[in-house]
Amino acid sequence: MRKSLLIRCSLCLCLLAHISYAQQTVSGKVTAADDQSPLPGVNVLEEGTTNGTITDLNGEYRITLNTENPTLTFSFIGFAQKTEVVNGRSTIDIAMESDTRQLSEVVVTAAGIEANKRELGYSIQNVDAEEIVQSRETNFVSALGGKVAGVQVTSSGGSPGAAAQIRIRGNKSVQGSNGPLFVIDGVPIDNSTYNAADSPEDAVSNLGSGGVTNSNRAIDINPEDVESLTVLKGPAATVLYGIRAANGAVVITTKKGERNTKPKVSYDFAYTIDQVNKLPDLQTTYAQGNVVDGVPTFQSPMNGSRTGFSWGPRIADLRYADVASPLDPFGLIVPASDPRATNRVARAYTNAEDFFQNGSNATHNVSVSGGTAATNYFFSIGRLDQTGILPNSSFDRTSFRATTSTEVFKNFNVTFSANYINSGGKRVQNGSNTSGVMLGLLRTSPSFDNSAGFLLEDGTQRAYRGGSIYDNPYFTVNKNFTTDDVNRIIGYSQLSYDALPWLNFTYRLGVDTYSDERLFRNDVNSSSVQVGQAINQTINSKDINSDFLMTITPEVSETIGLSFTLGHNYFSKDVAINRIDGQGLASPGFFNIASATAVNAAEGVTRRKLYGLFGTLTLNVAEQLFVNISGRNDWSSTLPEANNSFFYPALSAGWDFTNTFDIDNPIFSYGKLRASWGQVGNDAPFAVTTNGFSQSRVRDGWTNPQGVIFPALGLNAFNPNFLLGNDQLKAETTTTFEVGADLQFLDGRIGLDVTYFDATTTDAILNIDIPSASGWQQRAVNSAELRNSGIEAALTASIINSGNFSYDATLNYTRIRNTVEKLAEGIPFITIDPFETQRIAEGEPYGIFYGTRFLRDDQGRVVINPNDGIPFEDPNEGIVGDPNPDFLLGFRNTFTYKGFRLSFLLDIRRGGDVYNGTKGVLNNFGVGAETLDRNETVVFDGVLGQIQDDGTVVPTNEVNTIEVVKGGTNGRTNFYQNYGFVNLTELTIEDGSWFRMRDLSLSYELPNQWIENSPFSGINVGFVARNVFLITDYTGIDPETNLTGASSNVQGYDYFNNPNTRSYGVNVGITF
Amino acid sequence: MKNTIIKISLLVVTLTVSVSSCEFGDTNVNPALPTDVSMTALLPSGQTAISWAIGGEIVRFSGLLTRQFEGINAQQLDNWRYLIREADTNGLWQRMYFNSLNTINIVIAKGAEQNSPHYQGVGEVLMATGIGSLTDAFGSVPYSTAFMGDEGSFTPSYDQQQELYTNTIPQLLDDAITKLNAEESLSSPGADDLIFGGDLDLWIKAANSLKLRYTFQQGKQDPAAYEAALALIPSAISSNTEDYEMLFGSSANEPNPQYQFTQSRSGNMLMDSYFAESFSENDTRKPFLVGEDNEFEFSGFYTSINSPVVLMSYVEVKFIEAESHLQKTTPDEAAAKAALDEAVSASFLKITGSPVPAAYQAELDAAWAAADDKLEVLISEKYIATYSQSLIPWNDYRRTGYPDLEVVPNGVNAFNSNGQIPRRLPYPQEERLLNPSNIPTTTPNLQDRFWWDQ
Repeated sequence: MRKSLLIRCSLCLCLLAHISYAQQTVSGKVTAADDQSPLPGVNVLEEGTTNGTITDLNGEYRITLNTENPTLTFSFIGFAQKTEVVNGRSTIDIAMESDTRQLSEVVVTAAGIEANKRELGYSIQNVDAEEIVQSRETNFVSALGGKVAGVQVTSSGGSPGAAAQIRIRGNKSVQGSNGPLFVIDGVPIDNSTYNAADSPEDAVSNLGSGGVTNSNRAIDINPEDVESLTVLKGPAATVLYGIRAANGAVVITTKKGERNTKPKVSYDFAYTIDQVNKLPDLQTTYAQGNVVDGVPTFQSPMNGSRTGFSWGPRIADLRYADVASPLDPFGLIVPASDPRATNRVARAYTNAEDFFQNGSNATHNVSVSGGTAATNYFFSIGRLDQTGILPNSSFDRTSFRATTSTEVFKNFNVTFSANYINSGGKRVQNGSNTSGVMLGLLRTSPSFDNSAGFLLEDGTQRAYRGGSIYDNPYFTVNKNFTTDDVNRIIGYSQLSYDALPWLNFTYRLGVDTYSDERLFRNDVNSSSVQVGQAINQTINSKDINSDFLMTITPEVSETIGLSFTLGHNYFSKDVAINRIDGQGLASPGFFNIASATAVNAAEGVTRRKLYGLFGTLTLNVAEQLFVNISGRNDWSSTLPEANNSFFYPALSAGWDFTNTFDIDNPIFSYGKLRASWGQVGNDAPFAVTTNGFSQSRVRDGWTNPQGVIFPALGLNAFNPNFLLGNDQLKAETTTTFEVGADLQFLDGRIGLDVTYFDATTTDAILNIDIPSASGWQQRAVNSAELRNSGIEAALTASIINSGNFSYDATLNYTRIRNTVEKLAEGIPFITIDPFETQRIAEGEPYGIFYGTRFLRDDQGRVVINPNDGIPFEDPNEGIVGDPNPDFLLGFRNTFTYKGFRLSFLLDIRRGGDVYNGTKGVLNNFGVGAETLDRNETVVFDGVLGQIQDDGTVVPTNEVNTIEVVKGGTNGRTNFYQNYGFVNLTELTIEDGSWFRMRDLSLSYELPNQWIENSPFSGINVGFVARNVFLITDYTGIDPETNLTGASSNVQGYDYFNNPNTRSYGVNVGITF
Repeated sequence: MKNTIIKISLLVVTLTVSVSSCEFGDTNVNPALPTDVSMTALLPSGQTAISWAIGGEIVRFSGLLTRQFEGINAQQLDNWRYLIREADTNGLWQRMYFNSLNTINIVIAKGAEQNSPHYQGVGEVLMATGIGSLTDAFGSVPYSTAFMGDEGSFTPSYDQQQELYTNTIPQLLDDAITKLNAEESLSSPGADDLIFGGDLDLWIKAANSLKLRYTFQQGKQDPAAYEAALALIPSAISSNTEDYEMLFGSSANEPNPQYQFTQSRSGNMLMDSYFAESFSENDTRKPFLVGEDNEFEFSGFYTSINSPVVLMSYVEVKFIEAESHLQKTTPDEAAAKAALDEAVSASFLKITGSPVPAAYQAELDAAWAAADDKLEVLISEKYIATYSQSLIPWNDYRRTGYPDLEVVPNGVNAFNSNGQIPRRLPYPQEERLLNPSNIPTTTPNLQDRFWWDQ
């Protein structure tokens, strides 16, 4: 009662103060001094008050003044601030001078605090909203690729709606998420990727290596709604966001209306065509079959064989017989010597090339924005329709967004924002899965035509190995697709009260909730589940985030600026995953759960709660020295009670030495040095502090996902969970030290922002593998120590700026080195991929490839088997590659001439190995183009080995001279099949370097005089393209690929992944 | 006014601080993972998992190495060509230790804690079954310090094969028999026992039969084992209906492991022509064991959805009896032949439901009479009769060298330098990497012979 009285009293006082001065209204127009163009968005402030406005699209403003002898200040980024004493005038027109030294950006830092980039002691980088839209990526995350120093983006493939993985300054966690926090208008949103994991144990062992490519949920962001985007990289920048931003943050500000502007309606349309951009090279010379007694022999289901190999005779040596075959429309294929042979030569098919179609991508966006004196609003509708290069695959997204802000009473602003998204599509299986499209497609012998029907008359599959061994890719896209349907609401309300000129209270409550309904299909006769399977999966996710902030900006003195913020944060996440697995379908194509003969249901829950208290102090000494001290304490539900509170601090300083030494010459115009040190904590995954029992699923790696799934056999059954919990866990900590400089030359025409950072994560929480013979398979520990260090540099240059023509260029350079300094005691490594070739090993870079290799002597020479002339395999595996790139370089070029604008981004990745498991298998199968040399006689370089009685091999000094036929087509050892199914890992690791034009756009803004008499105020037309060209030595698909998508820490993994795309199209933007 | 606002702000801060010291309750407890479950819920899991591992991966390894199966794709092709990498056995090892034996070990412990010796006894028979199969595939394996992860002991040591054979397994089985004979047991297995439905007498026979198998298997080391084995025959399984086996179900979520393999990995294996050609024309079992065109994927006796996984059979008991009579210091050929006839007869009855065709019996009689080495005749019969029964055919080959298998072409590789049939499976990669101080050998060599194979 007393409190509300007080508030009322204070309101009265304000009102009284209002009335006591004579009011006066001033209006005018603000223009740029150099070209007299109107400047919209200029801040106009009545000095000594919080009373202000901004100029409209025509640079005009109107303000009612409250003080005696009022003074107006005009400020705008990139222009020198101007102060005008009103002196009774009612019209004040202003021409603002550009100020290169002021060429600085307002950035949004943690907890939604706005700051001038000049005043920061840490690295932060903005991305132009236009750049994001122009890249024409469906997935917002993919649109960040090549545009920010220190950021690496990897799309998982070209399937519609495919996830993209983003890393800021490398991988810091072993098993936890390494993805950054996504924040929209101050509210963190969910960016999870849920793979179609069968159970928690599969989530560990399978890591989504089969199944479909799913979306990461940031895909729900409509790129057209983005006004600006800031990437926060280190803990000094993110500490206020707390543990969820331990891997950096992507802070997005959405478009808002402007007060005092007429409604502005704009419409934007784009249409692009997608094509497959790269496929592995396959041979089309040799038929299905095997070498039998030294003779390449045609074997196929036509003659009762189920072989998968293409080590048969030349297709040109085969003939059609005048005998009909369901397997080939031209008839039974027989050797030329067969009495039934006609003179019709058998055909060779290019199955892979023929399979892909043109995809399309159409987007429509309508937005309305504007505002009255006290209210502003923004409303948008966006629609995306995408069809894939794989037949029958699609993704669509509909987004509605409304944001409105009102000044309810003086200095009290209320903002409401709601975003509804519906997204989803039809997804096609890939990866290590006999129903994967690429697996069946690429392994197909060139003597078989996949496209001539995928079903035989009896309802079984028409496939190159006969029946349901590998799905005919046409079968799998038409029968085995997964659909998902996401309904999501992201909303927040924000109350902001400027209680006093130096005191602000802000409260923000955000909610992000969605349901993702999936229906996973495996039709009857599909190879992975022949009896048919329908899985209904529903993921319900709910995030609630509450922030309370109090900001104090006391006036200390002319030269010292001080700002102090205290805040409280509450976050809760609840995810429920319900899954109904129906096996044994009543009839093909009937995927209702009622169709299943056996049904198992599972109910999964993940939840966490977090409280945080934080504070930050910012000091600005004479616009020269900028100091920031921050700290946060978190209480997390996922840690044991005794250890669930943890504190972490950060400190940063920036020094504008050009100001200190008053340097202002045309060559070197601005310089700031930065240094920061900060820590950020991180908590544990859900429920790893205790032991438990899990419902039993009995099966093995060969039968997954099928097997005995309890309840079964009339009983329910449980077994001990694979993971041993740990009630001693404590928070992990990442400590980052960072130094850098912002420099500007030639009046700001050249800018360089360079940063060196060194981040070490200690006590990283991970589930380490333990010997199964201990009874359990993993246990949770605090152990690893990981270090990332690197250099990020952004160079901007305005190279030509003369009259109508300009040329601007931006370079973003990233070089990161990471090392696993320490792992748990007695644990030499941790496997992070489904095929156990990618590891976190002590003393090595993150995720090195580990696998089989040739046996070498101490001089590095390959040791050759004296019996067959083929190189020996080393019985012990070793390091065979490193997926971490040497550096990344994005090079943006923008040219403008009158209304034309041409912009393109060149993207270079140097180094970074990719595991081309696809090639290993294709060569084993005899369909890889490399196997065209199968009849060549070669002598492998190396020395002969000597086999000892105990089976070991000792290298000799005798140089190998044994001639062998490489493909074993003489009936001897086949080099390509000698090392097993996926071949030697050493032979399948390839350099993933690339040089590509990631995007290209050419746009033309119609001159004003053309549209003067139309209802339009602006029309823009353009041509856009993505992945215009790609130059790489990688022999598989586009090396920007990753089998397990965004949900794991695997990198550079290609095992029958769906290929990537190139696209081009047009866009039109209209403003009314 | 300023003071008031400051007071309000302090109040808000105080409030938020006090909110922050909230307890989290059960937020971090996973409702899908109970902290404890009853023996009734554990036993079916342990039984199914061990049957799955033995009837699936163990049968496949044994069959691929003894030319009952031909691998034509993927790792089955590699394994058939004797290329068995240490990564290939990770799955089997995990299935046995984690999925099967740890669960069984908890049943044994709970049985002891909860005054339920009958559960304890059943658990011990299952444990002996698992450890026996593991040592026959890998040699020395962890047992005495295994299953102690929850007590903080993560790297078990290895028990020597000789120790396992001469002490561990017999003791487990003797203790099991004592426990199964206990007068009082607070609770006893019933419908939750997927193998014998709670019939303790059959569990005792299974225990005695395993004692028989692991005594007999030492014969190559110690010829006295044959006499010892014969002494155990009377207490062993005495008819097909008493077979120690698990039946799988007919629903899509309760399949037999080998059936599921044919469904999930269609086209990875065929029946090897060597095996297919070893059947006589008069052998009516062939259509139940070998598909048309040597297909492995067909509704056969061991490859149908509800087929049994045989852990120990009457057929095997009779073959052991026959061979013991033949191999003991003073061989008794007549007794051997009688037991052999009974073994063959039981095999036909089990697989075809009908007795041995007269023509087949005549062939067998003639072969026996003509043979210089009766053992070859006997093992050739056993090679067919114990097909898909654990790793018996591979054990027999390693013990006796029969049947006289042809080695496959291109069987030389980094792990099998002489190209002969492997004598062991390599220890799994996870052991070399996670338990390096205990693993007995770190260089995989498939020709390494175990204690009983010396």
